Amino acid sequence: MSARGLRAAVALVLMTVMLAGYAPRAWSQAQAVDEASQILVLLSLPPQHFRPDANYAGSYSDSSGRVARRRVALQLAREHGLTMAGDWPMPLLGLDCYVMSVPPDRSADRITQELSRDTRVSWVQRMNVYQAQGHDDPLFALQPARAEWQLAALHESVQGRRMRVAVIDSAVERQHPDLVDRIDAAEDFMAAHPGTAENHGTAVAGIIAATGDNGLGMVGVAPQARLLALRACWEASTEATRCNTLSLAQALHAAITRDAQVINLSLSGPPDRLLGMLVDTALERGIAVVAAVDRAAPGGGFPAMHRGVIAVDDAGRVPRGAAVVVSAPGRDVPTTVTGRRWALVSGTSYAAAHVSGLLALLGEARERRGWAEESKRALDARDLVLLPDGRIDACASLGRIARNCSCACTAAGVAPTVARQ
Amino acid sequence: MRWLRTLGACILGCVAAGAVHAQLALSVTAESDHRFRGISLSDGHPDLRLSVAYDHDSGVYAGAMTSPVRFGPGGNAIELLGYVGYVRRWWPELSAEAGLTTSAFIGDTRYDYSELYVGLAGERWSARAYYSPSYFGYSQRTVYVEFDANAPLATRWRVYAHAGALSALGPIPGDEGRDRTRYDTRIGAGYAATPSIDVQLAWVSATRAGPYMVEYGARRDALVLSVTASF
Repeated sequence: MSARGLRAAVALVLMTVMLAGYAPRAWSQAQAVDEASQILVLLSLPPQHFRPDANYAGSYSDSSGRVARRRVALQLAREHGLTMAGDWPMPLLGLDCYVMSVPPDRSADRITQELSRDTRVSWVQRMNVYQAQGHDDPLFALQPARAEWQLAALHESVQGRRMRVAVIDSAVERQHPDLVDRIDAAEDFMAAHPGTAENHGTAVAGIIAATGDNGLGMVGVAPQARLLALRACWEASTEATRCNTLSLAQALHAAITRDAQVINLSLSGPPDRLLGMLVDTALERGIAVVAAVDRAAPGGGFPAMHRGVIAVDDAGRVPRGAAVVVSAPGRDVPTTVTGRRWALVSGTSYAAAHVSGLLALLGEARERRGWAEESKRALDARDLVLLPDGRIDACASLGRIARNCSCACTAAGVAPTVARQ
Repeated sequence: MRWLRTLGACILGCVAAGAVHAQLALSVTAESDHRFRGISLSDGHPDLRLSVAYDHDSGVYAGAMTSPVRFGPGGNAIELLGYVGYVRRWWPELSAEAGLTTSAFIGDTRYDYSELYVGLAGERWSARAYYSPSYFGYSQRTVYVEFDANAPLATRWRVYAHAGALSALGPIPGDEGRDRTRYDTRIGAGYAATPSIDVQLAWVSATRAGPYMVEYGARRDALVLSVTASF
């Protein structure tokens, strides 16, 4: 390129930037201020196709398409008196998601109904709020997985090597000595609520994959598994860890695109169409999804009761209407907490974390057996051998997949059953 | 030209009728060199391109692009390119398409030509094959196949790669001994300065064979800077 040509190109660049200077400055981060007053407006994202002006960079993220959809979204917001709070493309679902805030004097349900009739919109839904399941009934006796699942015996054959578990939760303390070498990647989808280390996410991560044999703290169920620490929740207080539809959807999307083998969702809330589609996408791609049961919610809550998800309780009880609920240790469990410490925790969140760790062990065993076709299917409740009271027989579950279990494959004198879904 | 007018009328008609489930995008691209399949259409000079793209939820899409071109010294013209196609998503990560493009050159209509194309695309890649019965008006049937891929590096950064091969179907008129296939590549990085402004820097190169297209003494490789503003 000649010097004259370069000067001309630079001039063109500057002119173009100035021409486009009016462009909206907001970047794609939803500012989740008051989720209860927000709605999600989903617009169709056209499939990628021929564009002569794409400079060979064909991509769902092409800016002209995004600007066009944003223009439609802004028009919708104006027509309905809403404020745009953010946007996020979801090529996995073929959708662009726009977060809009509803003014205090208007009904979010009514606006949702109005927008649902607009032909420019794929669908509209309320921003649901989710509650982490980590603080109920902490008074039951200690039942560590080490005894109930014969963890040391399991680890003689598998430790979760080459398995990646996505922890969709509050912030994991990445510098915790029991976690520092276990985290592959971390992403924060809760920028509106800053936080670098929070107890719930740190505790869940520790149960799944805390480092073993380092002379510190405890050992995770799958101590060789790698973690994706995806922060979709924030600790509003010591009693409440909260998430919302958008942050969870972003985290689920990241878990899928980063090729997690297991997704842990130690949380519960109302059924959600967007999250349901992402969970289905994960399952279709062979990713196991584990969720905590909320006993106070009808049927056990969402996503635990979503088809294909492994619903986990910590007391062997089956909520009414549930197809299958498995039970795992969740009472007085020692695990990692913030401040490079360890503490006892209780709740179905931690029972779910146990099952996510166990699935990482089963995933490694399945991979080592070389079942190529079988390995494409997401592990689910059918892969778990259950005792009559719903508790998981971890050794029998592993033995059935590995065929060479080195531990006793049934708990004392109790005949196992296979879960049906 | 008649075809382009029809296409333009169709787009405007759809927009004016307030077509539902549709998106209309406009963009301006400034670039240091207009490289098409590795060959400069601006004789190595900077140029400006205007584009309009229309997407309907049914999968039908159409668009047009215009830019000045230079077929060597004194060979100035304005290219008007129109396209229409249909794309269908088979799975979330795979779509298939077919379409037609036609290019008219105001100022030198000898170069007018059309192409049919089919393609597959995933989230980060696409592959297409194009057939022209008379590439750039040279009465030379050609097939062009290309593969493109991109990958995110960070929140606003992407890297791109492209490889293509243009083959003449039959001897090249006036140069029968010439190798019939020309290969081109493009490797670059893109930066999304804002949601509506993309900056790209790419290294483009092409081999010295294949069908004639434009003035042939131009450089076969170049570093190309481009900025696209979308509206």
